[in-house]
Amino acid sequence: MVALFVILFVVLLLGIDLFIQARSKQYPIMAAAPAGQAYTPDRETLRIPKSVFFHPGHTWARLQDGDSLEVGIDDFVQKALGGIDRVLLPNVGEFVRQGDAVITVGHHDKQLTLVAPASGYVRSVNRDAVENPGMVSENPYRDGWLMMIEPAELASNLSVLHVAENAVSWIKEEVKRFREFLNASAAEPALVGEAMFDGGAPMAGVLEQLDDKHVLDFEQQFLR
Amino acid sequence: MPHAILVDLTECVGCGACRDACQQVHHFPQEECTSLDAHNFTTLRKIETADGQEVFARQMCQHCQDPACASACLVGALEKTRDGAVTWDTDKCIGCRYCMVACPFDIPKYEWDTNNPKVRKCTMCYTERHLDADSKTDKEGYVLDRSGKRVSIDGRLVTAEDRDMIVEMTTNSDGKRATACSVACPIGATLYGERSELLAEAHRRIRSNPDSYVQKVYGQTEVGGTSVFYLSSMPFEQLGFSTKLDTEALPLRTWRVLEKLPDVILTAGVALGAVYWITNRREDVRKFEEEVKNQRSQKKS
Amino acid sequence: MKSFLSRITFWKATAAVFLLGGLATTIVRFGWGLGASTNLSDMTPWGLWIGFDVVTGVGLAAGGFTLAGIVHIFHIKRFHPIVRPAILTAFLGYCLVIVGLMFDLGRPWAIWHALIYQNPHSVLFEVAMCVMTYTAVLALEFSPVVLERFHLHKLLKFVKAITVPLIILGILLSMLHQSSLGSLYLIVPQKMHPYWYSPMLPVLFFVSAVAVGLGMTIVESYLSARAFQKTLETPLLRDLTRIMIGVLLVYFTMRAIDLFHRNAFGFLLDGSFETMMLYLEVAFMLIIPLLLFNLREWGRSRQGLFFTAFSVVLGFITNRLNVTMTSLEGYYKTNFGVSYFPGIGELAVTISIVTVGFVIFALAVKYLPIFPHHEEETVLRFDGAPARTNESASMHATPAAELRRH
Repeated sequence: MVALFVILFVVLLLGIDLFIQARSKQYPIMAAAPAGQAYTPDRETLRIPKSVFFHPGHTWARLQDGDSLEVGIDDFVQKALGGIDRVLLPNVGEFVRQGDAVITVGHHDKQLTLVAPASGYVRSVNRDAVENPGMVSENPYRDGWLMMIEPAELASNLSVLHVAENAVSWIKEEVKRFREFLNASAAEPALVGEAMFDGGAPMAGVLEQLDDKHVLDFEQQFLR
Repeated sequence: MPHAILVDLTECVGCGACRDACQQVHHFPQEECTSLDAHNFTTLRKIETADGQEVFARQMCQHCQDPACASACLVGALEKTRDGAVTWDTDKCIGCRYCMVACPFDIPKYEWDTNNPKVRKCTMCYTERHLDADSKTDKEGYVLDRSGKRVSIDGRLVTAEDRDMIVEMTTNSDGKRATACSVACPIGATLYGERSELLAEAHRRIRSNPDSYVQKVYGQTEVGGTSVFYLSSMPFEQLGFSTKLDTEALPLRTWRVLEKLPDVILTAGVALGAVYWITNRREDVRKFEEEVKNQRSQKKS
Repeated sequence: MKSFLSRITFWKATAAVFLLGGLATTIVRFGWGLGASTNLSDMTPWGLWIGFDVVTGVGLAAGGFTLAGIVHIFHIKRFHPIVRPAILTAFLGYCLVIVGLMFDLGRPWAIWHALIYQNPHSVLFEVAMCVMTYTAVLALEFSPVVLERFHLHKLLKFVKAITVPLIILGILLSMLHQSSLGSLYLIVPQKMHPYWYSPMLPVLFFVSAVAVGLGMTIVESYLSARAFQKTLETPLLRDLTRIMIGVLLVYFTMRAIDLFHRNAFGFLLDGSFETMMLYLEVAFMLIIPLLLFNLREWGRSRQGLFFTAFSVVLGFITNRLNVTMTSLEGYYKTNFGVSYFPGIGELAVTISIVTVGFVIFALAVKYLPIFPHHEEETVLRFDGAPARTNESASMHATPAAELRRH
């Protein structure tokens, strides 16, 4: 009897808790509000972790235990695209070269291919992220990693990559350049909306508004 | 020589003299009782048989040969003495009550209503039986033991008056010391004596009078043998005695595990150390190879 | 913000009620004794305080040695971020077990007697020694967290130097007493239901403790994520869940073999209360976790993993309470015609102890470096609007700031 009572009591408490959670939708259970969100409450922010190496093509790499590289796409391209709903990755065992366009991500009708930030064999891919691409938009630098590679020419590869203060100033430049790119595209009649992309205009998901030609231009100018 | 008690329930008339003597010698409140508690070390239960007869079942500590309570007690407050009694030492007890759980006869009882409770049970009048009639007293009238310390029983100092009462109640007509209950029994249904002799006596009674007894000496084999034996005219389970007990002493069951622990710990300790050593070495090798690799690639570039 | 406050207030209010009840019982317990504060009796000497606070509590705190072993002895370094929360729970758990024991012992001030009047034949003596030593070991294993917080580097260096022997010692002590909690019941074969009395009890207790130790870690990680946004990565938790389920499969195979060899299978269809409780155990500890973990979406989400682990914890509690209480109920009923159900005071104390555990855990997570540091990062504005947080301000400081605002 005691065992049954204790179990029912605990289940009751859990039930009350779930009920309260369900009533306060702003703080839904963690599945919907991952930890990362607490740090990026705003779509209009760009995160630049200190220990991540950025490829000029907006992918990143992080050294893991000294013998492998974690690879993913950066916050800039993910935010510009307005989110990620599909991911295509090379096969495990494949050799990728730094600068090869091997990662494909998409959102709605837009699709972008990105380059590998370093050369090496693909050791594993993040199947969770492939099946649930939302993880990439939620936290592109942690749960949203894409693949592990076994670096082949790490030292020379690293010289191409931006890290720490370099990465911050590089991203700043990229944002500026992106704004100019958008303004230039806006000069052409195809672009929806007349607002000039200067300081203050929302940028997140702005690629959605471009036509396919300009998206291709973006890919050529920013992701290579 | 280990002592024991033989209770022949076929002779018992249910007068309650044993219970009264027990209460008196231990300074317990004099009262009728049907179940054991912290202030009743023995009881008599009346059982009416199908044919209208009345049978009395006496209950008290069985004083097991290898007592579960003593094995369970983490501070060794319960002890099987050489003279057969299982005694307890209040001062050691921390009140965990594992002895109560462990006892196959549910004998140890607890003082639930005080703030300094003790686990208590029949001690086969151990201290009482060992109290000398001619022991000295100090100036204040308290009895001293041979080393000159005041004697206390159950936390109570013994006065000369007390001593005389106790000695009288625990001395048989032949001058030998015995438990108060056996001395008090007017018809000899409860006997106190040497264990082997009482056991022989029990079997002699069954043999010479097979019709009036069930063919069993309760307590001879239960949980490895006890120091209290019962003879009965009706099956023991009908008297409320626990009859499903193993003949193996219960402490063996825990001891079989405990005695293996040093081996287990030694083996597991060495195994864990070995695993650590191997995995750590592997890590070191990996780091070293990494370094060599890095140096090579630096040379190349 | 409002709803967040209201939720916190509800649980805070509930906790306050429980704690008040616990406090009242504490006064009755130490003022008037066990009889006045509990439903324990000469027939049923052990109740909820031993069954839950001690036997179950020690098991629930098993995550400490399990994870320390996985990471430091087997060198599976991926799980490193989980070691600290696991050791914190273990340390807290053991401290609370000792508190619970203080309530249950008739003469708690004499507890040190175990040190001087040693009875090596007593299982309880072994448990007492191990729990005492292991609590000290846990304090040392946990000390780096406090030493780091207060920058006591010399001491920290010393503790780190003895980490490995300390952890091996911790594992050995845990093996000893986790199993011995089961051995405690080996001495009462005739009182227990055959489902739960088994010569295998020590082994079964140890294996299930390993599983629930992992389960508790997952549960805590989820709860701290909810309260503090301090957490572990989902894939890591999923791997941990996988190990837990592996251990559980081993456990239930052993259980089945054991029941089979003791011919206890025969009771499985008798529809008795005991049988129902056994089914409950199996459902919570095996069936539900297996189902949840293999569901495509749930098994991958943080929430799904939480429910998987929580179910295992529930099943574990059922098992320990079945061994300590359910299995004895039949004996009490037929022999004395009594059944034990904890009094309101016993419940209040038990719930209070658990509540105190939650509160201390929360405070520790808030003020000590328990969960991994969030990586330092810079946050820029994309739209060029003035930055809400200073550019290149370290995000490191932000979670605490956010918390203070709540």
